[in-house]
Amino acid sequence: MTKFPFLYDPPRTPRRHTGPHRRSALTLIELMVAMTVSAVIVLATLEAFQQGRFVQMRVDRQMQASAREYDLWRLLSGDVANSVVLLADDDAGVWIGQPDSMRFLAVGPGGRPMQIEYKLAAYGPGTPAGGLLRSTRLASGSVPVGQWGHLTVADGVRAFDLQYGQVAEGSDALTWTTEFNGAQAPPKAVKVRLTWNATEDESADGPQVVEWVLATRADTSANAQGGT
Amino acid sequence: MIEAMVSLVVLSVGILAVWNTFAMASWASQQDANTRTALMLADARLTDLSLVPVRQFGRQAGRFEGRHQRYQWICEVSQSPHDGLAQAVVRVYWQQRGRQRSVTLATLLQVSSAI
Repeated sequence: MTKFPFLYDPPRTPRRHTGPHRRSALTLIELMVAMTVSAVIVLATLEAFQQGRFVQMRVDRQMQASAREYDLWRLLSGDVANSVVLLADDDAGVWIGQPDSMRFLAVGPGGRPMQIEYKLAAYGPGTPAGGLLRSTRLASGSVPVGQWGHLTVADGVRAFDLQYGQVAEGSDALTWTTEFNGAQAPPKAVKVRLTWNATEDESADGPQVVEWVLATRADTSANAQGGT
Repeated sequence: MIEAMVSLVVLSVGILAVWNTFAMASWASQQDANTRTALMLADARLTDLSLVPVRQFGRQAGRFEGRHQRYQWICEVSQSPHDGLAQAVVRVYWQQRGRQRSVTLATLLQVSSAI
């Protein structure tokens, strides 16, 4: 009997940790509940971060597009507003408008004239950059001096359409044409329509088209040249 | 268990606070971009008005098209105390987070001799 006591001992009842000597520790159930709660919280947080990240990226893209549009509008409206016509032997002082490009003299910083040209640069091999190109060169009076400098002011532009507004003599009405050749004064206004190549995530919002009407100081230029 | 829950609550509060800060910064940036766009649109409306002399006084309203269709405008042209000049006030407004925001620009315009 003493050799194999387990064969003869009565089965013991399991110890219940009740009373003043109860052991304080996590049971397996409690641990699993805690882990489940933690996992749910972590997953919910990750999901919220993921959604927030998508929203943030979309807002960033919208803001970049907005900033790009605003900067370009400021540049174009400033150049057009400062455009002048200076008569000279050289035709560089003449305001020339085409359906997809425009070239004029503008009074730059410090009052120095600068010849400016806007046109669409083609994409493809051999071209420095695609998009809307702003070319400038300094001028002395209406005579250009120096070399052209080129800067792409808007990437991914597909179309650059221009119209020129003029007021007929003795009329208050504005008429729009697609060509302009001003030897006396700039046009009254320039209507600019820019179409961007839509990216994949922008295509759902439709084509990216902006249209601006930019005013010149045609009246003041005309007055400056003798009230023509 | 209690300690774990408390730490989770503290962590959640911290994460929420950081998240809220990001959300506020994002909202402020968006507000800035919207205001800038609205200013551009308001200036464009004033440019439209300034191209020809004013022929009639009154109030007009409308909505911009294309990408800017969330922006609406109200334009009011009225007499000014200065001879030969009218006062034009353009207000561009839009909805952001359920609240209406707006920018207002004003200028003086030449009045047509016809009126």
